[in-house]
Amino acid sequence: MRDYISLFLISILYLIIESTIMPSVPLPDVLLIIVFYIAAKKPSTAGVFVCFAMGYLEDILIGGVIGSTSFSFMAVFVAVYLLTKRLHFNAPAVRALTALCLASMKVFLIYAIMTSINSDLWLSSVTLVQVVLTAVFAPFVMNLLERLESHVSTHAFER
Amino acid sequence: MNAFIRKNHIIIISGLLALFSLHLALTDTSVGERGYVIKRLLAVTLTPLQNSILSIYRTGSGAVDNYVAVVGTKKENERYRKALVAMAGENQRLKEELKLSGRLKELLQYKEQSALKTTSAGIIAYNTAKWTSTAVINKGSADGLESNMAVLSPTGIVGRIIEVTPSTATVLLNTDPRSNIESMVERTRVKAIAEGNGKGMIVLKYVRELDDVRAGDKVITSGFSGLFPKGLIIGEVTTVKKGRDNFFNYIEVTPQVDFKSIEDVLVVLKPSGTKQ
Repeated sequence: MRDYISLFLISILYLIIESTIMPSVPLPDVLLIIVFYIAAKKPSTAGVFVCFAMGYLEDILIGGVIGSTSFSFMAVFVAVYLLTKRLHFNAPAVRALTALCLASMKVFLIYAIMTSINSDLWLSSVTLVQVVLTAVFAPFVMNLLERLESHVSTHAFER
Repeated sequence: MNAFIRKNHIIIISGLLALFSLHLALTDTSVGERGYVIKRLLAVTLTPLQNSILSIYRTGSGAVDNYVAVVGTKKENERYRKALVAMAGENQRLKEELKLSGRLKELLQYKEQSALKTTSAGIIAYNTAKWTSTAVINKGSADGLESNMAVLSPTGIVGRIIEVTPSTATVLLNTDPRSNIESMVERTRVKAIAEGNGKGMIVLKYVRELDDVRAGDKVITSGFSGLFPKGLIIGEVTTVKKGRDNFFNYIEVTPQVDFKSIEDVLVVLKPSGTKQ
């Protein structure tokens, strides 16, 4: 549980830094990578609720449509959880490629929800850059999370 | 049955939460009213953190810029260098004070010229890199702010308040896809709805092909909805082309306000009567 709390706190801190210091700079979607990490490495009921809470929090903090990010995170969680039965997400290339697919999936799902509000919505180039950045940074971020977990957790997770 | 649930409980819970989220998202018609308790809680706990991070960042980035400049010119004398760094820090602080004074003077001039009753506020957070375009300002219900109040800058319209906590307020910028402002073209008085398009621009909707609108035309608020006072500048028409339906034109407007550089805003204190 301590691992989940620390991941949740990291998410809050990241969202605050993103909105105060670098509001218009495209950054990797670290929250999505955390959801990917939880679903791949430590899937549990608590993990599902933490991912949902992270999505809900992102929607509230960015003033977005409440439910849109949490919906996409739940879809991402299920997709990764089902994939873990066939794939191992240990190789950096696999992590990067999966993150690219997951970030694209998140963009598509939120775009679908947003177009129900404004049909003339454009997909901004910033969003697409963010998808690529998420894929590039996913292996590094997941590596860092594994290291962090080994510090925080009383029993480091063994895959 | 029990074995099936136990085996697939993660997928079942995820599915239920996904459905709940989808329900929230698709029925979120009144912007900013959901999650009231959590929003208040976040405002109380996170606003001081946001303020601290922002002030550390502003002070730090100014000091670093000055430090780099100083290092290049005063390599040989460590003592002088240290003194200069300290002075550069002080200089940066004074420069910031001067800039703040300039911005407040500009706001004050606008406030005095305008007949509207307004209050000034500083922006403490932005969210423009994602799907939504919102900003958080450092005044809230304790300062008399309410939902649906118009937010302005001396150059034009910024947006409207969608969420208020005692110490902060969230502003829906006019480039957000959920923003729609009753507007008109200043030159020809053609009426339209100005909506954000998600890529930092505004689209003028429901302008027929036979209406006279050209690139360079100024777009202002019409004041019809009662939400925004009449005659405030929204932006300038940059693109006019045929719409996909062959009836309405597709018109793109560049916002008058530069959201990347704005730091202070004015909130029109008289609340609107109607919601959009």
